[in-house]
Amino acid sequence: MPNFPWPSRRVASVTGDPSLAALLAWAQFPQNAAPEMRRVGEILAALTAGPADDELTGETAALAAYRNRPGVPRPVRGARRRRRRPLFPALSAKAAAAVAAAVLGFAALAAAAYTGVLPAPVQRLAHVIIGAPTARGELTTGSSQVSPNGATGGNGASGGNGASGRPTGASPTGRAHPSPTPRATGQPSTQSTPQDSGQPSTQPTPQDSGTPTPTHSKGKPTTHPTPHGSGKPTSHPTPHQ
Amino acid sequence: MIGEGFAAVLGAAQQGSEAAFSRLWRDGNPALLRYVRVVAPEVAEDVVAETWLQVVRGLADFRGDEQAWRAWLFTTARRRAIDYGRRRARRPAGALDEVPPGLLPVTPDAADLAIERMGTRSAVALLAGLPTTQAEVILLRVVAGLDTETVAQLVGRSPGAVRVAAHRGLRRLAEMLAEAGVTL
Repeated sequence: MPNFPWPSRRVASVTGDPSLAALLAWAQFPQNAAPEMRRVGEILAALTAGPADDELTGETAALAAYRNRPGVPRPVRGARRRRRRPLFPALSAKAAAAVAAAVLGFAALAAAAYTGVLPAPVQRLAHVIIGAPTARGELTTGSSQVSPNGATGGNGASGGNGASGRPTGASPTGRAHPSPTPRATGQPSTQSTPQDSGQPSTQPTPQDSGTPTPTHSKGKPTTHPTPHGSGKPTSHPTPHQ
Repeated sequence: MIGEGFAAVLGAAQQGSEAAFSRLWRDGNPALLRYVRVVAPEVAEDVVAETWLQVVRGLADFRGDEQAWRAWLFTTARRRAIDYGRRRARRPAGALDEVPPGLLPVTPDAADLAIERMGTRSAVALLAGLPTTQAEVILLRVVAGLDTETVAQLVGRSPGAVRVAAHRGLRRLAEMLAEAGVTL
């Protein structure tokens, strides 16, 4: 048999008093309530009365806890401190000292490099990095200094590119020839054939294999320019005697 | 109760206004003390102080209206009071015959207090004479201003059980006053 949750008669009698409900709701206390209920009403009124003196004694401690609650920045003192130290706020004292020492050391090294008292390898390094004078006994002729790979630092007037010794294509006559011959194999052709005009072709062709093999080049063209590069011999051949 | 301005006061307290927090404290602390003086009378001040510490820690994350705020306050206080009760229960208790009579606590009779002066403390003492559940429910309904459903959630009972306990407590209170011959 199902068990229905009907409210019992006793519970209904307890909660059925409207004056009790009005007391708890604290809204409209019935004027015709029983006298004992009026006394209860007075007690409940006393429970909700204003605070007594001893009920407000802990305010100072509560406010102190409120001020020191976690996760809240200090409002005034912290802001002033931030304003006073705008530079390098994240640097600690040790890090700042290390940075200062490094700067001083670098300045001393630079001064020594400019006075030329460093050992030769260090002086060379300083020369490369900060433009200090070269080590004593080395060539100091400006742009034509000897580079570490031995190539001359010319600007192309000698026919090379200054680094690999490849010919740059300057013709003996001083004119460039950008149109190579179809038979070019990627190697500079510097020998005159009977069919050609006598001008050496030093340009690689578009079919170049991409692996330049400067067999004849050491920074200089293998053919010497002639004063009259017109392809005609300047003098008639003479019979061999 | 703060009323309509509660949201502004709470927001200011969450932003760091001490004046706003002071208003929240002044509004809530007397009611908290009256409640805890019934459910944990020996450690009421300590329980209330710890309650505010915990409230301060969680103040920034609190969201809700005044009803939810008071429910949070009293829920926190109730838990602290239960913790204190457990700690006290773990301590070994000595027999009362071994305690000199001069050191025994003297509790004034609640009815005498009611006859003498119907002040707030007298009313709290009178309520402390009720069974704990009835007294707690009446205090949460009247002093904390919580509705039946909120009180039911707080004490872990059904709303019907809360109504019954409150009405029985009020009837018992009326009987106590009639027995003491209190006329107001």
